[in-house]
Amino acid sequence: MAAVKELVQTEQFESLKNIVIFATINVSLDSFLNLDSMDLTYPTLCPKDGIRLVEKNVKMELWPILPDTFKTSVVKKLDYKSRCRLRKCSKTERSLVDSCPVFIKHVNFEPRVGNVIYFSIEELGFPCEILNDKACNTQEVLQDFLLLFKNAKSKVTQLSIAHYNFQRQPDAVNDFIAFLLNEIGSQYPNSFKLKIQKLEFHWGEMKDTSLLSLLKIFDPKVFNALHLRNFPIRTPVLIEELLETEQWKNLKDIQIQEKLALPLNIFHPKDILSVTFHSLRADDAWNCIQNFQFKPRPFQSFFRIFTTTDLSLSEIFSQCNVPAKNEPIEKSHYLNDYFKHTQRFQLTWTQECILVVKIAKRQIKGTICRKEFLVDDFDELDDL
Amino acid sequence: MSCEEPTTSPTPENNITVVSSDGKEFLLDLKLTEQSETLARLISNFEYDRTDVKKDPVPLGNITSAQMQKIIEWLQHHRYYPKWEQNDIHYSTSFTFETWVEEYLNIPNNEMFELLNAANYLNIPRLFSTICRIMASRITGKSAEQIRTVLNIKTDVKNDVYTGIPIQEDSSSSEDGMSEISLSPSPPPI
Repeated sequence: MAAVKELVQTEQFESLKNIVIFATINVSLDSFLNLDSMDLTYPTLCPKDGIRLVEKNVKMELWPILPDTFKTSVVKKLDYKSRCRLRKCSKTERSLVDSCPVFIKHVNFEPRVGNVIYFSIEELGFPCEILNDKACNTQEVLQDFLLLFKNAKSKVTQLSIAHYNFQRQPDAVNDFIAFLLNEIGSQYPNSFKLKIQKLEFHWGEMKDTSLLSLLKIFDPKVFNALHLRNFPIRTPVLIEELLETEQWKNLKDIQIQEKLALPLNIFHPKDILSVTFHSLRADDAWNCIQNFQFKPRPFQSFFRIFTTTDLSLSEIFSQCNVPAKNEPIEKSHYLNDYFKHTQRFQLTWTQECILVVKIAKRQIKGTICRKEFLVDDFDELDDL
Repeated sequence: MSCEEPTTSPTPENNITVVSSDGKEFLLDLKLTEQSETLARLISNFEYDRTDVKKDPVPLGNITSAQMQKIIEWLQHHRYYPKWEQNDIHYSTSFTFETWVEEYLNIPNNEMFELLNAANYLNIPRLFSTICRIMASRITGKSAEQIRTVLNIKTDVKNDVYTGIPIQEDSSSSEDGMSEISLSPSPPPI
């Protein structure tokens, strides 16, 4: 034991890199913490020493001199929470983190009583963690939200807004959107756009101008899906303005729950359409079928139109260029009782898929299905 | 100069010789060099994959013999692995590594940084990415203060005069904000 105590005080020991001592020792662990590797036996080890050993093994003292390209590669592997913490370490680390884009799966806003906004973030990747799920004042929420877009390439897959207490705070969402626009207007150039792929507005009320302004700050090259409970834009002038936006033109997926009093032809997304009308004319239904029959789309693309009055099968097929032939795709009696007719249409643009159109009493739905996977594909992208 | 052979003993037709910065020669199976984009491009440019082409030794001025030995060990282990595909979009909060990789990279930090340099120079994406993941695993889950300690970062962020807490100029988040994002399984009650 005395020999080891003497050894750690020698000049030779200072230049040692590795050490193996078979005998049980009682010399302070501090003496060995600068070595690259050690194999020592202690009679006992206190938790504090254990933590120091673990810290020694994970320390990366050379980090500050590592080239930025290497640091960037490390940051890109970090989850959002760790990036935020690294960002706080120094200005250098802040710039480093900001130089790496983040990819977020879901951002959720929900105005709550007391002028606070519940705000949560869900990252892409596994395991799925909900971050920052708490309610804060609007200013704080907006700063943290805009922090996500610090890097111009950062992207959010889905932005959800829920407004459950709209009866008590009818203007909460409108106020929030106004704050957001104001914040962006004061801090970012006009060209700044939020890279958000999908907007979902679950519940509550939003003014027509708020929705229109919100859509306009989305990057039209990224934004492609709009899911709304209701569609507040009704006046012809605003509809005209909406139809002219790149964001609307580039939409691939529109799903609106509320019964619409607008013409079907303004909703012409490329891949997914789910809307409700009071009634549906046979020629409109046939146009919809033809639109899917003749224009190439990915498989599982679908249109679904609900009505509040009954659809007439005979009227729809009076428009068709093929005779009505009911060919259900599944054996379920329940489904086949609900859908009174299933028609299969050949597609002009591919041999591998067909368009399956199911017609119920008050619903018509058509999906591009792979011939081998008709049942699997029919409802695959359907959220309902 | 000594000549070290990997375990599979390449024949002259299917190997090239690389020379480390300290002058040591290594015979490398062409199959192994496919993992290094730098070497693969060089072999393709000089047509070293043809048996009738004379193959000159390839000098690797940035890589020492110890590093080359370590890299060959990596290339041998991953000889039959599928081609590496980069994925920086789906990140993970829990890092797991093969036992072999953990043992392979259980080396002092300075050696790990040198190996990272070598992996970058030779463009071996799987090795480069794995070292970066190992480094990321040492940061993830730690508080800002712990990260400063682990990475030896001297903070240059201004502290609040009264609380001593670092001030973020462009975020609501001081230590109790975004940096220490709360984590709970279910949203709070409405």
